[in-house]
Amino acid sequence: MGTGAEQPDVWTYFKWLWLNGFGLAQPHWWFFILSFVIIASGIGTVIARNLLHAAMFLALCCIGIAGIFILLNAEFLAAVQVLVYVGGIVTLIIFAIMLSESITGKKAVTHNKQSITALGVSIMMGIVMIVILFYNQDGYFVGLERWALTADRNPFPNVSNAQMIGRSLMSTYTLIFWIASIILTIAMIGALILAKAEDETDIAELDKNSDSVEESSGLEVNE
Amino acid sequence: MSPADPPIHFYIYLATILFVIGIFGCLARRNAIAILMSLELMFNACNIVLVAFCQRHGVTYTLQAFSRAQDIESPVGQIYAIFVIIIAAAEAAVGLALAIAAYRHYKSINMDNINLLKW
Repeated sequence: MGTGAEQPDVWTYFKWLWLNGFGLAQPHWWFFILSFVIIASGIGTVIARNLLHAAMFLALCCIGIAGIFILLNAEFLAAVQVLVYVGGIVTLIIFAIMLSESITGKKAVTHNKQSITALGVSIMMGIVMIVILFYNQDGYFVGLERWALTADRNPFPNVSNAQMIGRSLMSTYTLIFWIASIILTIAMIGALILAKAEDETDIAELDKNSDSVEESSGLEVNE
Repeated sequence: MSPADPPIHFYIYLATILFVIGIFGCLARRNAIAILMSLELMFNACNIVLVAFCQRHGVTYTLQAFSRAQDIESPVGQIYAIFVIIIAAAEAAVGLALAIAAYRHYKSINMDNINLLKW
């Protein structure tokens, strides 16, 4: 852990920035750019009316988070993030959108009636998280001392990031690695079973039932 | 570390904002797929915190598996993040299959209409 002189609180951090310039080669500048991209595209994901636009915003958000991982010296994780999220999950979401709903020119109500309540609840949740993270049990602000930054170091002098993660996955965390593979197999089988098409007769019956269900639920909502 | 690196609470503010955006999306959106996308935002916020704490406060230890290096930083936060990504992929597959099954049943994936087991 670093000594007291090495703890950059926010004020000394900005003073250092002011003295050393805001060059694009400095990592802090990329942090602010990436933060702006991540937060803006996250808000876009939440409030976009067109679901395809929301999926594209989610892809942009994941790319920004991969940049944050590169800032944190986790290059392998950044590659995994781009491959799995942008290449896998967002593609899967786009397929699900195209399978489930007609997108173009649809002006549907995309938020339910709880928007104001949801906004209040989420902001209160954020305040609670900040308080938990930065204040001790007596109510004092302890964040900067509790998270004293470590000293200057080259984090991984002889071993690359991917090699380190691979060796750890194969030695210390082998059991969790196996369990993750089992979980992926179970999820794949479960997704296949859930998304499997029923027989034609079953689909016809479900259509009748769903019509009646929708009518009854609509009546309840109108009351 | 040099002062050029952002302090760790900047990462925590970023992750908190992202998590709050995800909570708002989960609570306020009507579409099931949009709710799944908000869940992905929350997973990503957790990953940012895990990797940031691993980078700045990682345990220094010597693994026997490393033959060429002494005092390797523990990559446990990054490994947790990898497992979170694995679980997120499994969750996305199952959740989207559920969304398609619900759409086949109800002819919509509006979560306000799917209230058969609500009360």
